[in-house]
Amino acid sequence: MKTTFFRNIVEAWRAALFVGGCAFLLALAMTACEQDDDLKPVKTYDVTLQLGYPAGFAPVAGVPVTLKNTITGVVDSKSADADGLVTFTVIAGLYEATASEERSDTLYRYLLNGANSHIEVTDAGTNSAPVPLTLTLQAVPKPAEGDVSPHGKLIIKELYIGGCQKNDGSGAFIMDPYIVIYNNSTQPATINNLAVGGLFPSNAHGSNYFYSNGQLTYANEGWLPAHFGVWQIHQNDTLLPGEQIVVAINGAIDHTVIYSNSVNLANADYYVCYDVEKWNNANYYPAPSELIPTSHYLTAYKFPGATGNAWILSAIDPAAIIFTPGDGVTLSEFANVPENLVYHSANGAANSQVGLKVPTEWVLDGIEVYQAGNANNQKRLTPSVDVGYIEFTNNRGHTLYRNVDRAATEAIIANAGKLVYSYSLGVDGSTDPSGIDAEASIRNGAHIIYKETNNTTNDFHQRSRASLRN
Amino acid sequence: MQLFTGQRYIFLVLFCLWGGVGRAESPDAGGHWSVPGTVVDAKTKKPVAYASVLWGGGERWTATDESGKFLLKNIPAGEATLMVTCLGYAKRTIKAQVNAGMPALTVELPEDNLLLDEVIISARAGGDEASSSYVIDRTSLEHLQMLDVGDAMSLLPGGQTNQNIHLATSAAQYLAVRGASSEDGNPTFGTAVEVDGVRLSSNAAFNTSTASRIYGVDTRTVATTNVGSVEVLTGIPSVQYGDLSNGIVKINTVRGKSPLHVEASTRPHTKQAALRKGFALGREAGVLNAALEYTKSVSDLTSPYTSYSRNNISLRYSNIFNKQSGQPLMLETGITGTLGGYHSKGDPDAFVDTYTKERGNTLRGNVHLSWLSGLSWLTNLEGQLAVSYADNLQEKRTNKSSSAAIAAVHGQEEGYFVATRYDDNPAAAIVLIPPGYWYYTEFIDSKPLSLSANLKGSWVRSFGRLRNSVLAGADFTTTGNLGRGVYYGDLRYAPTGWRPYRFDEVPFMHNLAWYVEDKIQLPIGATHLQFTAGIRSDRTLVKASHYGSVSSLSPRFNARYTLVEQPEKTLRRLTLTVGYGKAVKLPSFEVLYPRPTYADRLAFAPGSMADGITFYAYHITPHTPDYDPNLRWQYSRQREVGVEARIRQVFLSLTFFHHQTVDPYRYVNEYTPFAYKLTGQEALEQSAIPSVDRIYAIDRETGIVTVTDKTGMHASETLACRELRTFKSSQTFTNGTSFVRRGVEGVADFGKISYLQTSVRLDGSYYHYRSTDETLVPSSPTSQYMANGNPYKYVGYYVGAAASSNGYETKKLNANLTLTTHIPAIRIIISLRLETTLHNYRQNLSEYSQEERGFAVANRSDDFPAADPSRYNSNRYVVVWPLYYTSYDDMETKIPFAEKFTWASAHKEQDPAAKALYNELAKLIERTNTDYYFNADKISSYYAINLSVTKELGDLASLSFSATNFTNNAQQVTSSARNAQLSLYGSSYIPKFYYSLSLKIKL
Repeated sequence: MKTTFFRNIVEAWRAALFVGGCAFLLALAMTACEQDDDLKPVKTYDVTLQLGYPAGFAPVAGVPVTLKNTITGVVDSKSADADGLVTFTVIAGLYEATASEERSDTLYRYLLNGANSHIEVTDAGTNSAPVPLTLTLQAVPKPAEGDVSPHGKLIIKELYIGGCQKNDGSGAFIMDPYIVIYNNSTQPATINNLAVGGLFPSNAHGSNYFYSNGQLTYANEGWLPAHFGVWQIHQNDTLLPGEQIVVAINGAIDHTVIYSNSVNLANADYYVCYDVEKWNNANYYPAPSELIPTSHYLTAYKFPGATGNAWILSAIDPAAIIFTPGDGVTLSEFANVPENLVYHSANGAANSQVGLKVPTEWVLDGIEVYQAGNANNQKRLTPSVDVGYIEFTNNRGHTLYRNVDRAATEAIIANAGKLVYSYSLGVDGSTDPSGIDAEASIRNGAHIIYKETNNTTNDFHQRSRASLRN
Repeated sequence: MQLFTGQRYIFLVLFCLWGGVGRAESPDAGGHWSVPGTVVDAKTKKPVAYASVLWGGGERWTATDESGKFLLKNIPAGEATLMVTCLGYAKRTIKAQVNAGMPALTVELPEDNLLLDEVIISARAGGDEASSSYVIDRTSLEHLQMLDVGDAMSLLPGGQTNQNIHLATSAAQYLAVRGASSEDGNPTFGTAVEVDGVRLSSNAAFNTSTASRIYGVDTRTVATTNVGSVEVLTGIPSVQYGDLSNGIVKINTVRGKSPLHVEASTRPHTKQAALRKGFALGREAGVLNAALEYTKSVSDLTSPYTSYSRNNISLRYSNIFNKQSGQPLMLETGITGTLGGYHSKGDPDAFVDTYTKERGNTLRGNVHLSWLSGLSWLTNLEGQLAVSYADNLQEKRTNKSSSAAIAAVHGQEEGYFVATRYDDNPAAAIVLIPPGYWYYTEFIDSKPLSLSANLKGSWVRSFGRLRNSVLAGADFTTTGNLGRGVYYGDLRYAPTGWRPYRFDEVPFMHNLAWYVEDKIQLPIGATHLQFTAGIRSDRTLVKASHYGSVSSLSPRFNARYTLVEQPEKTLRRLTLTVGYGKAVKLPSFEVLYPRPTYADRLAFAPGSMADGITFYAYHITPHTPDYDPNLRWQYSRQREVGVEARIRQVFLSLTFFHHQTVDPYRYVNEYTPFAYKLTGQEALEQSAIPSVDRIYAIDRETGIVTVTDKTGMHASETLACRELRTFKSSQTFTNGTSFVRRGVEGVADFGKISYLQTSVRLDGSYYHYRSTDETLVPSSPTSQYMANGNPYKYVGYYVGAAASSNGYETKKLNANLTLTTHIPAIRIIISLRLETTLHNYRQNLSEYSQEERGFAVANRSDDFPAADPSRYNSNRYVVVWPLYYTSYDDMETKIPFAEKFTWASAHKEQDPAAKALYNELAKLIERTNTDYYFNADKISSYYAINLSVTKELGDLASLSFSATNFTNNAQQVTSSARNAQLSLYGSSYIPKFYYSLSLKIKL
């Protein structure tokens, strides 16, 4: 029994020796390695990142860039230099780089964010070429400063009133006019209560009984004579900067089905002058497209005494205004006060030629149109609203389109690369001096700032076709 | 119709006079003899056949036979004055001593040409008739170069050249005697026009528009080249003329044997060619006059496509039978046809295949018999059958297109209806015209027809020096229209608003009239009295009209007293005339059978679908103008006083007239509260049924719209609607306020200054018209809304009209100087006519016999009178209040406006209700447009000069040239109302400058 006991003790000792030996050898091996590192310095590599900017954005110094070792979790941060370059020194491994920058201009906050989640650093991979880190752009309109502006800088962007030729050669079709109202400002603007009107006389070349000795009799009286009635929006919508609404003045339907040179005004976003209780001539006011919500119908305010079954903005040479009544004033009450009415009525014209004295401080914008080549044109807008005019040829599908403020538009960083130049749609010797094709640029995503000098001559040009046909 | 007491009395006197004279005397043939004679050509001495020989103003008459011989029987012994006329010859008046066995007379007739000393180129006062009238003969008409018979009116005293220089307009040309077309009382409608005794009537013409103005006949269809004379009866006409209120224009075509006349004329817008000839059909076979005329006017010289043409053929046969017996029977019969009209087809300026054509086709015919009976109780018997027919079919082809569906409302029954596609129901009340391009042709078919039969007899008898003529007769006239009314080539595209209304379904109107007139001619010493009294009764049978049968009596009197008749003295002749008469104008069909009118109100307007289709619904309100049981027939009461004098060779005439138009026709609107339903797209926005699957139905009575799903997937939906409260307006004819026209017409004919071979004539007219209407006229302004945007709920009742003025006054003094140089030796007439308007005045009036109508305000927007409220010539704005008002809620209570409005104004600051009422009532106030509206407008004097030359080239040809307004006067005139300077050039005051040239050849 004693022999087995000792034999077992020896075997256990041997086993212990074997395990201990192995452990020793292993420890020795491991120690050897360590000893090797200790012998050579740890190998590191430089990784250079190049920030990639969207068009229109130049690199700036100081943009923070973060590099994270996805294995070790080690994070390092540095700032890019003025060329958008930043270099990290790292050991081999797998890394993720991110960068963020925010810039802004008058209209937007620009959020530039970039990430590259697969940067592999190996002995073989050491490469001197910078690793791209592309920043993507998010342009965020600047938040309102305080309340939403009542109407911001709402302007008449386009006035399409001249009609176009019918397909059968029988003349012009003119029941398709529209007006585009645009937020040209840096602030959102509500369109609620916004009103559209035209001035006496309906035609610039017609007899103007408000002239006396070559002067407009109301020039210094602080009002403009809106003719027959006005249309008002009752929809609490807001236009952000660069947004617009289209208001169909007569038929908000797709006219192109019958008149291929016309426009399609059947669009759920459009607005329409439609109030058959006041003006019910079905030739002028076909039922609007069912796509258009009835909340987009403008309400008519027909001035007391105005006759006729349709409100007409001259297809030849109107003066159009957009305005909003002063605080607390409703148009129906204002028009019900006889003192606020005015008559375009010398030489036996009828009392039905009734107008409303629209205070000029209500007026947001106006456009003065003259008939091309007519020597009898006379100005209707007063200088506080507008000082110029644009000549127009009707019945050809032409439209009156606002010129682009090139400097302001190009100053929008986000517009870089989106602006289309070589504008060629000016007609009859008129064109947009900016050379920017606003509609093509808008389709590219550009934000256009239009000219706004209260001078129709500078602010508008005659365009060969309606913008809605582009 | 009741007679006034005075009229009854006069009628009684007339009756007794006629009857008494008839019983007291009997015809005495003892001292009567036959007058034989021969009529020969003064130059060739050849006999003249078919010359008329008359004695006693037509009491005895006959005509020459082939050998120029005549025998006038039963002429009283003593000196007799015979008149001999024949086409192509100058009229001759000869005196002869009639006794037993008198020798045959030889009457030499000189040819009617410019070799004659006596040529008149203006209107002659109409001879010995007591009432004023004028005759314009062939020479004058040729010299005038008449294009429209209305042109002849310019030759009347104070007449002015017709300003329509061509016929190529879609507007008709009317004649108005002593009146202007824009005045109250419809003077063109009241002026009768007869061609060769056939009355042209517009009674059965329907206006194409629903505007109920009534007009006279369009004279453009009357050929002018074969007009022999134009007689204008301006004064109180004989009772044989009825159905008029303003006078009568009688156009007589040439009649008698004549060579072939060829005529061609040109003026800037018009070319004219004509042929005429009087064929002698052989021994005792009569004469056939044939005339052809071609006239074409274009409206625009630079685009000579839109035109008016007149192609006229006229055949007239006349013969006198039984000439030698002393009881000749004259037959005259004729037929005249005109083809032509207005035509714009082919105008390259118009869009292809669009045009307007208006037929101006007419057919007139008559058979007239006149028998010199020789009976002791009947001198002359005349009878006529006449027909007048016009085809005024208008055809207008129009090109249309639309990008939206159109609801064409044609329904004639009341209620709500939804538009239906033509293919689904061609007879739908509302036809849906889908978007697209199309043409449609509109026809307006009016074919008025008038048939008349007249019979009249005269009995002429002398009782010593008194000569008495009795005329009695009866007329029967029936008038209707054979046209279809307005219709369309394809109803698929008939425009909205059209309703069938067939003119030929309107019954004919029959008028039966009798009349009797007595004329006494009595020499009293050296003076001479002529007195005419007559009465006419019209009985109008208005079948199937509320107005039923109506009668009227028209007494008329004329007297002519020649105070002086002394050919050797300085004052050679002095005559006074006086007249009084009543003339009744029969109402037009527009009055008797008023057409229904329709109000179509949009009741449902769903949104347009992608293809532009939308199914509108409308409420249709038909209305037939109300019958007015108190409607009286319009008539005129005419008074006239005249004086004529001949002082040496100077002839002077002055006629004062006073025409009162009593009960002129007018129409007024009446208002009835009316509420209807309107359903809009908002009611459909929540609809579960896709729009392409919807079927809309509208309840005819309630206006509630129901939508059903044609697929059956969804339940039907009833749509919410809103109610609109407004008024139904309806028209009714009524009688307006009587008014007066008066004036003076004068002629001073200074005769010929022999060494200058020039005659001088001064003629002029002063015309004064003043009319204010005091009919109480309701009016609700459609242009006003309540402050909350709802339809306006008040109706104002205004004096005369809902307007600043309820009438106007005009005064016009025209004077014409005509210098006529006639040189027989070279057969030329040169005339220079200065037409001046010395006074042209117009004043708008606002008058009411009960109180002031309107007042001046200090500021334009004021509602209350200024310190000095004078309306006229105040250079201030004037406002007019209604007398009363009613509201939608109570149409029966007429609230005095002034009282309520003044109260509301006084309390408006304290009481919101008063302020609201004040604001609403203020909308009923009528205001002048300008501060000079009630200023008298005097146009400073102006003139135009016309030059005309007629030259005969031997016996065969003559050439006429005229230049109208040949100085092309561009003078400035002043309009006093606003002290404005106006140019005459291109104005409506004087005619445009133009020339005309015509050549006439006799073969």
